[in-house]
Amino acid sequence: MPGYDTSAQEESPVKILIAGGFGVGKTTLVEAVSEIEPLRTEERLTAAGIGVDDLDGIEFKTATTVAMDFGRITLSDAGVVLYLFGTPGQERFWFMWDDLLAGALGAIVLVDTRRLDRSFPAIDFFESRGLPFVIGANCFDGEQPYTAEQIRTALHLGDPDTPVLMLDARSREDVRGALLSLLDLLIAGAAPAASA
Amino acid sequence: MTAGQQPGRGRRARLYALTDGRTTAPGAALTMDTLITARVAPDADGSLPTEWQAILGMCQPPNGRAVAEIAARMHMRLTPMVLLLSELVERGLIQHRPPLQANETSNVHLLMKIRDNLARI
Repeated sequence: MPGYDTSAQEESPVKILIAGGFGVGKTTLVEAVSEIEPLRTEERLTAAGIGVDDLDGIEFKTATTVAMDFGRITLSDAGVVLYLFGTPGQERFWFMWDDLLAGALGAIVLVDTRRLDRSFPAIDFFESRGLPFVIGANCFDGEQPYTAEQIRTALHLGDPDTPVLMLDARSREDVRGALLSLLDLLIAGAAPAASA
Repeated sequence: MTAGQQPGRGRRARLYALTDGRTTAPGAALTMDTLITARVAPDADGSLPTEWQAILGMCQPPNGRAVAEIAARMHMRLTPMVLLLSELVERGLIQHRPPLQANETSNVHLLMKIRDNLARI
């Protein structure tokens, strides 16, 4: 493979997805921990799949442009550059976008308890694809009238042990806590035999 | 996905006309989270297009940048950016580092390192 150099002491990229309905605070969450101002990237998707076509001016009925906001955290000691990708709002297109999930460590599903139904597509999608995730209940105005247990029940989570965290998406500490919780989940999943 | 049966399939082939036969460079599967690092200085060759120089300038080692980040900063969509970067790979101007593979992302020691480092940010 030309240009692929494994010898360099550079970080390897890895990504975590930040999902949730429109307006739930995905970009705010990314901004809270990112070392750069969140950036926006766009991709044009069609029902025929993506990867080869960007046919400006040629309209497909099923084509749409999806946008993702993302940020970055360089973890030099671990030798990785962590990219946090906010998933696009048009969930029905995620299925056509293999790149979105390929190689992802896991996801944080951000939920607004006033609009829980908006987080169902993300939860269904990750459960169907087997991508580990934690739930972050964004506490707007610092308030959260529900308990983690109530939220867990209302979300009908396939795995009853899925962590449900109360967080303020603006808080670096809270967001870091959610990321650590996701890592704990991944570590537990990667080492089932080492728990004894 | 049975893309072959999709009505748009036939028209998609027109991309070959638009890009002079190029889709992506053989073997260089660049994804949105592939890390790109320049192999030359941006002004190494004054004849390089301005756009290429800008890309080389933003991913000078040791600061590799993800394809998505370069696309965002260049105000391009992902797919055209992948095509452009593939051209740069072919010309030896940049190198690319794929995202961690499944056997690595399920490695408990690496995950613990990531966790430890995250706890300190």
